[in-house]
Amino acid sequence: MVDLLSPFLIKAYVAVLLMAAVSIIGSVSVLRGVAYMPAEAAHAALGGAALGILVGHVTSLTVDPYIVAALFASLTTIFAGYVGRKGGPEVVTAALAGALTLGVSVYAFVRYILPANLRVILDGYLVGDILLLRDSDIAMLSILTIACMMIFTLFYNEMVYVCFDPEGAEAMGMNVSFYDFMIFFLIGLAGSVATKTVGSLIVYALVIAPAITAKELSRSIKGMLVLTAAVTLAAGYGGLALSIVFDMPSGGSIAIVASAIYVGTMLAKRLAPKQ
Amino acid sequence: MNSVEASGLTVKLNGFEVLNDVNLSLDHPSFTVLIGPNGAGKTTLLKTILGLLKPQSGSIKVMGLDPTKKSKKVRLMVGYVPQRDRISFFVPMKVKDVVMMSRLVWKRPPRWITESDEAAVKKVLNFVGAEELADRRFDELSGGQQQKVLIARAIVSEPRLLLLDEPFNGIDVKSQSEIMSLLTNLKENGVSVIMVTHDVSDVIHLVDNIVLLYRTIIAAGKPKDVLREDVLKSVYGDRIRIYAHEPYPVFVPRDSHG
Repeated sequence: MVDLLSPFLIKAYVAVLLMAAVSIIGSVSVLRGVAYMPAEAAHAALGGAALGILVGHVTSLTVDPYIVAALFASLTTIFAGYVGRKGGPEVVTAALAGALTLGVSVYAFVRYILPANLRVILDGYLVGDILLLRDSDIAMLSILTIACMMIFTLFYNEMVYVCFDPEGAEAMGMNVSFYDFMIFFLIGLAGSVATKTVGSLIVYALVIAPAITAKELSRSIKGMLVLTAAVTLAAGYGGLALSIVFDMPSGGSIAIVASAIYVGTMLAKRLAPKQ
Repeated sequence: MNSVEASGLTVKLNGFEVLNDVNLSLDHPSFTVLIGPNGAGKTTLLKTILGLLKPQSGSIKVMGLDPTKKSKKVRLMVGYVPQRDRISFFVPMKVKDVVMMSRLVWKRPPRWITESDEAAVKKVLNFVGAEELADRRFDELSGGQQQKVLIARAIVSEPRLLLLDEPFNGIDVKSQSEIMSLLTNLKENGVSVIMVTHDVSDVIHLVDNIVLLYRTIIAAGKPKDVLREDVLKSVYGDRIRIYAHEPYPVFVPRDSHG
């Protein structure tokens, strides 16, 4: 019999709540037309985490790999946003693809030279395990998620305007570049939080799929944001239940539920009678 | 006072001279149509009026103010309707929220909505004949309805000058006529209008000035002074068809959009 109030599960419940908040930033990436960006940021975070672990291993410095991962992810998205403003959407895609390749290459190289006990920690950033989060992880993820949500709440209108009509917003006197970089920064942070929680491989399932599902069903932006968080909660808790009942890996179970909700939504929309 | 006064205006974009020695003086209030081939610098001129681009040389005054030095004051006085294809349809915004954008952007974050904001949005949607669309999603509207909403957004802050960049692209004739009626109504209420368009055939009789731009001012003035075959041919060359018609010839540029 599984103890549903065990410390591991309680931390996992909290992590799903944090993911629901972070998935709202995933919605912003969909609105901004860069839905793929959180997943690319997550892979940059993977490379950052690898370097953080390596530095801690070869020097006497105490380095939290997650801090390096968050830094890498944010810098990557800001850089991609910067080059994209100069060269257009294709350049953003190229820059993010480069960051993904670099992140995965650094991961592979560092993993090769690390001792087995540190490889396990590094692999946690690749596949993640929401059931193995420590108190300190939850504290760090909570701080970052709250910071993300505070920035998002305060500058919600600005971000929506920049996504909807950057030229019109600039004509009205808004500093469009500043808010655009704020969006990219938040996407990077959200990608890193998701990496730590569920692993970089399935960030798509828990940050982007709920946002795309919600967009299909929503009549307004606020409705889309609420629905995104709701889908993430359903996928997170549904996935945890699946994991417990069938003794499956938690990250993969969550990804299966999130993907099933998305596919089910699309099928239902397609089969629904046209109005 | 002039709504716009440019003297020796030269503007470069990425090192390329898009506008060269533009001299222009437009009365206030007046209705001006800006025409010219693709790449003539029409949008660049609008952005320079807004203060988004700085002139390389020369000067520009908008309602007597330099838009690069008094950008906030100028932007408060100028409403702007961008080309519809610059707007993202990824964002499921409601019509009333699109119009509200122009009210909230002048406040400090988090930019709370007040009752007077809601009343202003309702009033302006009523003015453009789109009050029943307030709760509809912008991306689900027809081109003509979207254009009316964008005009409502531009005028909700009660500007003295309204700039429109190709508002008739992809718009049916009936909507064009309704939009022209709105714009002439605005002019009668003291708002100057500058509109970029490729097709002036249906609006000639309603406008005060036509400006033919091709990097510089080729001709500006009353429609009869600008819409002359020799003048149009000098800019468009073979890329235009001109049909004899009284009182003005009808011309159709071959590189026009929409």
